[in-house]
Amino acid sequence: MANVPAQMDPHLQGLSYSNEGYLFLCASDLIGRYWSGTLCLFRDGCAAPDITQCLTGCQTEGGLNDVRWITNHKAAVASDSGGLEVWEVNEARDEMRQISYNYAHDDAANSLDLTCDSHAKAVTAGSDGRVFLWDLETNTHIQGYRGHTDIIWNAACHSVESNSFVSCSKDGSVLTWDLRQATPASVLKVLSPKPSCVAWQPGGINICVGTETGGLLLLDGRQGAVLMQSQPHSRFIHQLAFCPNDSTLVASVSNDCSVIVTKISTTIQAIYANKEHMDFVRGLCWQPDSTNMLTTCGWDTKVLAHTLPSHDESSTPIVMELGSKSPILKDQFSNCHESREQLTDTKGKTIID
Amino acid sequence: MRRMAAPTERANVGLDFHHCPDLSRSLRECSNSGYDFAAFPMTHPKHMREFIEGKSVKKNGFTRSDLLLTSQDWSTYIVGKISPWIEMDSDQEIIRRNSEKALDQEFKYASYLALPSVIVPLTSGSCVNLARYLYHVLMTGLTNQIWIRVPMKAAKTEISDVVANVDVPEDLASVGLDTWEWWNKLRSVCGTNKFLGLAIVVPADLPSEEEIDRWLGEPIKCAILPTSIFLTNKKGFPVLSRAHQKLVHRLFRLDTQLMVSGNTRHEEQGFVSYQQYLSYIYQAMPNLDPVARFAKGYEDYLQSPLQPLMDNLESQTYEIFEKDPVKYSEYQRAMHLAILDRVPEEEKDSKHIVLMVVGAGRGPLVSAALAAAKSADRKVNIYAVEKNPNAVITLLHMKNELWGDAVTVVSSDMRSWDAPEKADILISELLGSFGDNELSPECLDGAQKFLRDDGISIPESYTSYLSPLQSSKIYNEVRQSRLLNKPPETAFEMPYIVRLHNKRTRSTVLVKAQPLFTFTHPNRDSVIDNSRYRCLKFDISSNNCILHGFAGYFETVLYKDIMLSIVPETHSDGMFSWFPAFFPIREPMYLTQGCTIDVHFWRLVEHQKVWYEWCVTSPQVTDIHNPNARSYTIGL
Repeated sequence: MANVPAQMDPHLQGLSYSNEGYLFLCASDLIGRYWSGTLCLFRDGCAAPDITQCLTGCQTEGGLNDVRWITNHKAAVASDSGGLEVWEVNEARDEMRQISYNYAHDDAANSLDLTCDSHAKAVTAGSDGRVFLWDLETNTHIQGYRGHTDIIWNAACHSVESNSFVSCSKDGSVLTWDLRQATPASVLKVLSPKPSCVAWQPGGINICVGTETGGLLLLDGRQGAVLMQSQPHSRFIHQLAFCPNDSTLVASVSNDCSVIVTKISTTIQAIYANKEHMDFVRGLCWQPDSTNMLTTCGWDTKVLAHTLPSHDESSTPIVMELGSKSPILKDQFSNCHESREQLTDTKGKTIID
Repeated sequence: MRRMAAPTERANVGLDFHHCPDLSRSLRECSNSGYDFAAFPMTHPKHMREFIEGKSVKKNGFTRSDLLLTSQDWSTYIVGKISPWIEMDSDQEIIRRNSEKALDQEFKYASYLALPSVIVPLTSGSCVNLARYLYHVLMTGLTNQIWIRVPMKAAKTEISDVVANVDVPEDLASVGLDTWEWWNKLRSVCGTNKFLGLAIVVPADLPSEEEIDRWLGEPIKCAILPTSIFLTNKKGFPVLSRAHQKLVHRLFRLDTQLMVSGNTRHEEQGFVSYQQYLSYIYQAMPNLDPVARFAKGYEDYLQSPLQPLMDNLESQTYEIFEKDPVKYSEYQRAMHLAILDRVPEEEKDSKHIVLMVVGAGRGPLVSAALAAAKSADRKVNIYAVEKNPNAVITLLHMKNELWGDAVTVVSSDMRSWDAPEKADILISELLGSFGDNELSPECLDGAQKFLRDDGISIPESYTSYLSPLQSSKIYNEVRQSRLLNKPPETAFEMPYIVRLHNKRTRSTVLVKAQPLFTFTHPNRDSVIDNSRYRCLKFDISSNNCILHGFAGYFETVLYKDIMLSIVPETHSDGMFSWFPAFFPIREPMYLTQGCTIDVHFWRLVEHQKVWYEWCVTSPQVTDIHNPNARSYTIGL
């Protein structure tokens, strides 16, 4: 417990599970004396964000916006300074050290994703309208591209094509990228309401887009046609994540303080809704090797673990219409969620194992 | 008469922080690196806030404490930045409404901190709701100044090498990508308020000269230099391209502040190297020419035209005019030639000619006439006629101490003086900035009765010139100069004298000047009529722009090919006696590329007064300015 920060910054921004179930949690202080950041390692989602259960961690000068494990011992962090930090954790998981800190953006780096080729590269999206490609072998940026004309909220890598990713911006556009091309980006779609986050459906060609007013769209990743849409949230969707083991499930977190999981198959339906967060929800990660457990964090300084109803149960979905204003949530779904305390008691072991 | 702008002896450079986790340390670093001010986000740029409904609506703290800096630091060194996620003109109602609350919260906090100015980013041409709010802020005095951050070039014009399917047509304005149009819309909706300034972002590839000129005619308070536009020299230090250096020089001449923005590209040297480089550029700036040195402080400030016929000038005013290095030497050259023409070589010992200097002032033309006679080796008698009894005192002393018997001082109005003999050469300097606007025609018509029939008038003719002008700065000055007990239109119905032309002013001449009214002396018309009317047409061929009024100039032929001119194209080198005139129009007029301005000008003469009237009839029609001389006359 040598290197543990005195406290967690209040605005939890991002989290990521390693394959072994360790959780990295990154946070910022957006209103305090110092707009600093914290990066903390926890044994699992149940321990976070309790600083006394933090295995190791550090306080960073600037706020942190997103974190991703590169290997079981190395993680990358996108920071307010516009940089990418790479941290290494020792075998005992009680110490961490920064191996590199490089900045490339002229403004904050808002999101971070890793390419599918064994996480060899990272893509960051910045408020300066640029995306940067980073080499995680050398921890330096390979190239920056100015493809957007305003803040880029999010850039997400393709699940099998290591040269492809998708990005979305406050300028209203969704761009698809193929780094093998001389002009690597092309406008897939210009949307209104504007896109706020994107995710590539694993294995497929479709792209899921969240919007600034809480809409969810499934776009054809080649033509940009809107294949399906729904309205799971009423505010800015901050992040989307497809379930790694079930590419029909996409989780979304939003400024309306809710966490929604939507099943996209022949129809688009919300199958899980949780409104326990008391403030904007920011971080989102599915637990490794699970199809029904995800963890979220937000500005209420809470980390919540969610367990979805089993797939059989989900045959009775939330009743909602395509494109309807907001989901009609049945009361039963509040029971689907188990609170963190319960999780520690009953499911805690399974998460660790 | 002269208002001094605050003199700047060094570059004023600020540092833009997109990221400042520790406010007091950032400010310390900023000042240690030699910067004069800093731009900080007032709230954390990522700290989106909900104001409408739900659990996340907060009533309490939304940013860090003001106690981190002293109130003097806040009010002296800090420019506040508005959060980038705020979208006042979103087509989504919920976002628009939430943004309105957020912007209001930030402006109120800026007011609480007493920040000297607040930077608001402008990212598109849909900005009317933003403009309405800013107008409200300006009216209620919530802030001292607002700087609108606008890129000189739309970012969309710079991404085509990365994004395959973006089409940016030539005509940016037609697709809403001309960023000047964004600014113009916002500023117009805000009533061209003078506390609304520009913070332009300088791109790596500069726009055309014409576009730069149009920008420099705007009230640029600050030019933002992204670190990405800097190059690296052999020693590893940041430098700017020649074109950028030229622009920075022009900005310095306008006393524009600069601000370095972005992460440092020169990590070893640090941010201090950008400041040092910009200071170096400032120091290396070529010195001002004598005219500009003389005019420093006059730029863009309005002065009322002199009325030497009605009022007696002050000694100080004479002194300023006498310093002109060009005007009197040209007069002397003209007199030299005229004297030689009047007296052939063989008569040089026998013939005396009579020179009359009408409106002699403190005597510079008399001295020039004596010098001309001496250099021509001819004998002259000179009458120095002056109506200002105070200046006559100076003339009498000059005669006693310097000129001697060759000069006769006459204290009289030239129009009523009964000359004892007729003159060979009548010399005057009665021209105003617009040529005839100090009533030279009327005076010389009165004085020509004592000029010999074959006598020479110096000057022999003069012509006024006009060109359409864009200058929101001057327009605002006019608007501010509302006169006590006068109706509001008065200020827009009179000409002003203003330093317009050179690299230190914020005015853009839209089209080359054209000649308007010409007067020739002596006037041998059987019936003398000095009234004039003319319509000029100006084609707007370059960009869309704004018409704020007309610049007036003149050109005069002193004698034969000896000219004086303040028309920009033919301006006499080094002469500073006249600044251009400015004729405002009441409402700024939007001009689209390809349109034609039709402007009508009248010079009207009545028994006791002379005045101008003017109006525009294309592309829009204005009413007559100064009808029946209701706002402005020149007294005879």
